[in-house]
Amino acid sequence: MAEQEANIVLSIRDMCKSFGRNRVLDHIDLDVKRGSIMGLMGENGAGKSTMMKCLFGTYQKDEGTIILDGKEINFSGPKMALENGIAMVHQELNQCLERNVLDNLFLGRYPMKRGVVDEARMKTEASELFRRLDMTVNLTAPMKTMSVSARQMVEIAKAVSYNAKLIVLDEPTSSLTVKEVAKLFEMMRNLKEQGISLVYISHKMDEIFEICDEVSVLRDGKMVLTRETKKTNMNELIAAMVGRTLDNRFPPVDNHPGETVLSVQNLSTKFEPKLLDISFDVRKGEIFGLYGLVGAGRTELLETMFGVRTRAAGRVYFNGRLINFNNSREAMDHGFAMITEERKATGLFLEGDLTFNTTITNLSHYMTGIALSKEKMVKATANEINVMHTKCMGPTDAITALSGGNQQKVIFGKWLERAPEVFLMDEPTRGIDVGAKYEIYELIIKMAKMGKTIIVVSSEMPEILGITNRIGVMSNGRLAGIVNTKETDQEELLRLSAKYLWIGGEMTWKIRM
Amino acid sequence: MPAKLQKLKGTRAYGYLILLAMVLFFYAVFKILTPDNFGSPANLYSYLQSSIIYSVGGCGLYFIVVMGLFDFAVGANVVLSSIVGVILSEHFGYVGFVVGCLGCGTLIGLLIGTLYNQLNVPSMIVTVGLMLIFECVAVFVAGGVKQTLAPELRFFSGAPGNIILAVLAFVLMYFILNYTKVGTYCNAIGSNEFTAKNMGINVKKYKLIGFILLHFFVGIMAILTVSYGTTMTALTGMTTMSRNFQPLMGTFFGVAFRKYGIPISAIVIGEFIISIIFNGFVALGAPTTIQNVVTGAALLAIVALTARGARGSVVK
Repeated sequence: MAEQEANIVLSIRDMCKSFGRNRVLDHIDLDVKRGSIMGLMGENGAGKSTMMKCLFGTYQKDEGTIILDGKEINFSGPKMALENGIAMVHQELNQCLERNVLDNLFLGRYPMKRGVVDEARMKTEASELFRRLDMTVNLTAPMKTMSVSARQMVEIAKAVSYNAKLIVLDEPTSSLTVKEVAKLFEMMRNLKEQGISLVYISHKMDEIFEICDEVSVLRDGKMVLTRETKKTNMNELIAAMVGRTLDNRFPPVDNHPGETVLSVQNLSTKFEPKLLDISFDVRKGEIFGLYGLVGAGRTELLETMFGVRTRAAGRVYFNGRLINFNNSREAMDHGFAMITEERKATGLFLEGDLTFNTTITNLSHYMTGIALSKEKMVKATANEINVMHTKCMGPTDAITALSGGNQQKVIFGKWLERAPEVFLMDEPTRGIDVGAKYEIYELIIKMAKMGKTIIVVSSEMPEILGITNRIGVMSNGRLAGIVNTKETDQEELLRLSAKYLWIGGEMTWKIRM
Repeated sequence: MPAKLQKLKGTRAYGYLILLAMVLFFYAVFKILTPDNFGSPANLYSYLQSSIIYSVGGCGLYFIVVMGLFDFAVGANVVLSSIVGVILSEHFGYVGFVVGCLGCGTLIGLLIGTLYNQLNVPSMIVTVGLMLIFECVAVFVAGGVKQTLAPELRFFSGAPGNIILAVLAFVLMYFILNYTKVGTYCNAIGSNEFTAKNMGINVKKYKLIGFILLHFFVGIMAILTVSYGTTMTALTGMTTMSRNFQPLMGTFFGVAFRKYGIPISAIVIGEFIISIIFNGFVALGAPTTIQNVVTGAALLAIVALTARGARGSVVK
């Protein structure tokens, strides 16, 4: 028994947390073993973030105990947690991008010598740290010149440099390529061998099964399942997360594309990152996927079509008419809508409520005489809440009170209010739990059946293969090929995405690792 | 905090309660310190009359401050528009006065907004530069002479004229803010300019409209200011700068109490609070320097207590 206890680095017992009358964490128990990787899953709003915030002292728990290495702890903030051996690597990295690796590593704890910063010591210690982690990093490179994965590695290295016993990784692979994910996993295994424990928060099942020793599932603030990964399966985890079984991860793609309505011809962009000579057609009621490695130009293609990126050459035709948009308003007036990749940064008004966020793109429709009708706006919002099954108290809820998945539903609802003909979607299910994802897939297919043309960008291979009719594969700013989803596989998509990486015998696109 | 008050938190009623508590607090402080010289009903009415002038300017400023912009040419516009209004009133009576003030004010807003959009430099720099120019223009237009509003054109100098005009301005502000695209888009741009652009909002256009609206309200403020003071003198050397701050203080109240859904009431009551503090110090016979120090400190305290960012949030 004592040996078993000694083997546990973090033990959470009966932890509760409520906001007003809303109980967000309900008697949570969790044990993380030393030198192991614990997966933590749950739908958006299940309580994962709150649990971590209680652990790191951002929130104070109402009840329960947290024991780290045999000692009860109650941190007052993340800095205290870090100094006591618990670190977190956030999905959106908090780094000073203008400063170099060394500065970011030692920020807030610069070693001093005779009153000045001891840079030599910083370099020595950093070199030793990266050597130990088997990483090659240019210590003086500004962070902004590094890839997301490299920056993530630096963040993990920083946690290790604080002698972390436990590192929490929150959705670390959401912006990584397949190779970068492999590199991250290698590093995680390395840390595990060194006796460091990891908590791995992710919505990606395949990754959980690949890297985690155990997995715990939160649902509605309760810890509903903890199992060794080898003793469970995908269906059991999904059932635990959503409280019901999802027989398939993707609904049947039973839409029937019609005639060609959208034609992109020889499209190139003016500014970096550049698109070169892209041509493709999309049919009415078709779900056209865009796949490619990070930086391949998928987002830029959608933005150029939507008029928010400057076109250098090429034409876009919709229903036989030339429609080279110069701004988003023109695109919207022609029945286009675009869901952006960064939900919070470019998709939502975080100071507004649901009504504000739902009606903002379509204000002219809610006028009575010369004035906006609050009644019409609230009614439209209530309708979208209903259609999208958004979990909220009502149209006056603050948008920030909603989970990520429900915020995404509000964004969908906002555009649906305009009844668009062409829907451009950039990573529409990023950071969303499996239940909400399924609902969004259903919605996409339903819209396609209604004759809407959909272009969807996704970095998740199963998703792009699971919900599209055809897939255009981007490589280094070019369209490497178009394949029928039913006739292709992961290997072909990967092969096409690497097609233009080599130009003139030189690799122009690099995985900077 | 009592349970009933906790329930009210975040509601309009809670916002009004805070404002009312502030009014009572400052009133009580000065009434205790100088019971004879401060706070009689007649005095309070006088404080209200002076504060509504700034409230009108504060309402105008709200349109651009909420979008993250500033304008230091408000004072210069008050002087220039007043002078233009008074000169036109000599030929066209009330029509000339009102059209002169509103027309000049609005045109200045159009000029500032256009230059801001075209030059692509921060609004503070554009408006400081233009403030210097407008001050000189005012001196030129006035011909170096103090302009006096004719006695028969002073309907807006006191109640009910000034109250009617101010209330009309507040109603207009309320309507624009809550029931028009302009108000909604101003809030959207302030919340996230990049998202607003993606949503098809013509950000430049609505910033221009924001400046025009601001200076239309400044035009109204000019009518009230010159009517209240009866004369206006044009001076150069950034002397109009001090006229910017009192409306701006009201705007800060508005922005701070936006979360309770009562920005306009907060501007009006906030200006009244500032007026109480100013007049309280006058009643105490405190020197101007002390008055300014305490007023500044009170403003900082009020805004810090009411508009403080969430824990861990970045405040710029």
